[in-house]
Amino acid sequence: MTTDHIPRIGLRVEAIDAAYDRLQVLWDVSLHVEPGELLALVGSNGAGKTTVLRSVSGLLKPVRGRVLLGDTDITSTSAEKIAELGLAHVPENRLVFPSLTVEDNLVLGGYVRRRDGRYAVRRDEALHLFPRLRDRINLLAGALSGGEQQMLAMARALMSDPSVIILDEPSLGLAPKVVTEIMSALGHLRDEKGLAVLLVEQNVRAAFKIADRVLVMDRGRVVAEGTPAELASDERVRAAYLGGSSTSSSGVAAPVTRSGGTSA
Amino acid sequence: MTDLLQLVFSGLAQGTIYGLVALGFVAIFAVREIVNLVQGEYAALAGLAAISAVGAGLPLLVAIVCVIPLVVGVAVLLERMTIAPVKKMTPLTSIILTLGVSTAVKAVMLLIWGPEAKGLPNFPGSDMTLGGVSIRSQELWVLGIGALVAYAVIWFYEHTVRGKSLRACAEQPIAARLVGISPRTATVVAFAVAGFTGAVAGIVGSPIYLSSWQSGLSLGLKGFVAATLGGLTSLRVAMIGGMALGVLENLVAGYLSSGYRDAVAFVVLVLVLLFRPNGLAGKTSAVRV
Repeated sequence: MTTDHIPRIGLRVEAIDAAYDRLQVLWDVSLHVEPGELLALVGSNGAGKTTVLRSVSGLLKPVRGRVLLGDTDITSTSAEKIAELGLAHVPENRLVFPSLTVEDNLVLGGYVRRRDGRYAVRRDEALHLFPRLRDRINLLAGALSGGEQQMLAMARALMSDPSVIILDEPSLGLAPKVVTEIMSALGHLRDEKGLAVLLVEQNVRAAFKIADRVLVMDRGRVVAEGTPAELASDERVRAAYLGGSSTSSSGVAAPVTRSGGTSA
Repeated sequence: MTDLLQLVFSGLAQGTIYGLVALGFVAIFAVREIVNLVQGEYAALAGLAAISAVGAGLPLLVAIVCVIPLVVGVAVLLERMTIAPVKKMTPLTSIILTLGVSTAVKAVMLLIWGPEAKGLPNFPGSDMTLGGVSIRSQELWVLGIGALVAYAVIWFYEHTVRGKSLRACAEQPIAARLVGISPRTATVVAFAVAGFTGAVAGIVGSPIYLSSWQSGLSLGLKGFVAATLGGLTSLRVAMIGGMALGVLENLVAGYLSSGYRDAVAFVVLVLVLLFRPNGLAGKTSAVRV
């Protein structure tokens, strides 16, 4: 595969508190993801996972603490500028541009790199990763299936040639086979492209299979952290996230490209 | 038959002016869901400023080249001053706000240029008669420049990365920011486009339809009606709708009574709002979640 010559950088979140208006939803959240590493963020609904991603990508400004992209403090930087600095956020519900074609969605994904003349190279890489999009390149994004839209949202994010990619529940509502494809694409981005990947996921089994490390959140705080193997043997985590039948339905057999999830 | 052709032809020219104003409404609404009632004032301002520039001895072409950027600048400046500071903009807020701004702009124009209507000199060319239909050369200028500008604006929105980024901003503001599109820049560009089409309308129309401090009112209303034909989101329908409205007005004025001319736009507006509130195309959403 093509290797990029841009030195990859990681992401560091230092003790952030975040609030919507005056309602505080995050307390003292810290995390870090290195290049070539995949960190999964799990937790029940309302635990604050999405808010962590919004605070990182600049959609929400944390009220306390710092967010660092490589050595750059991006705590108060606008979302548009953060995208340019090399962080891509694949939002909840995909949010593709429905009335634009797949091609145009990719074009806009590369908006911050529109003058560097490497559109064709990145487009090829993105379509190589998601071959299904190639056949649908001239369709309107709104006409794609949910799984295809998710792939498009990820491909669009990659068009900005990010160092760090953060994803909000990419498997939500998708068939197990599609979830497998998406997870293996994430593995590829980590292993071959050396991206730092921060993955918010409600499909805990799929997340444990692919992650290098896992962070568990509950009511706005980080309550546990470790490798998937360590957490899987933790009784509380087991009981809350792995034992119940409700979260295990997908039972994904993602191709595991690292030793991470052997025990999940 | 000759009468009919005559009415249709002059209607097309008049309608092109409405279409250009309508393009301005759509250029902004398609990006920010703002109904910008200052749109007609851009045309009036451009006409009056061009008349003054020519009166001061500038050649017509030079006057035009100076006035268009001036009006674009005013459009952007007014946006920065009155639209940008508003935190939660809804279409209704925007109507109330821009109605106020448009009234203020009218008052300023009245102070500067006085109450009487004036016209720019005709663009070069001679009038002709073709099969009994008299054709003013200025009407040909209106049609030609109007078509060119409409084509350019549509091409910009549909084929350039910048134009697509504006549409993306309209339909998924969050995702647009995440790919690096600044909503601020998008709004400024949209107002610049609207200022441009308004200025062109005001300048090419001025020799025939005259400019005054209040000519923006009826232009704005008719442009708005044409824009609603496309649900305020289709540039093509807005332009064609404007031309159709001009023809319809002329036919009503010619065959019924010229007193009804200005009522046509409102009848059309009421009919559209009653039967096709999303525009003639009846836009259906292709969004799947």
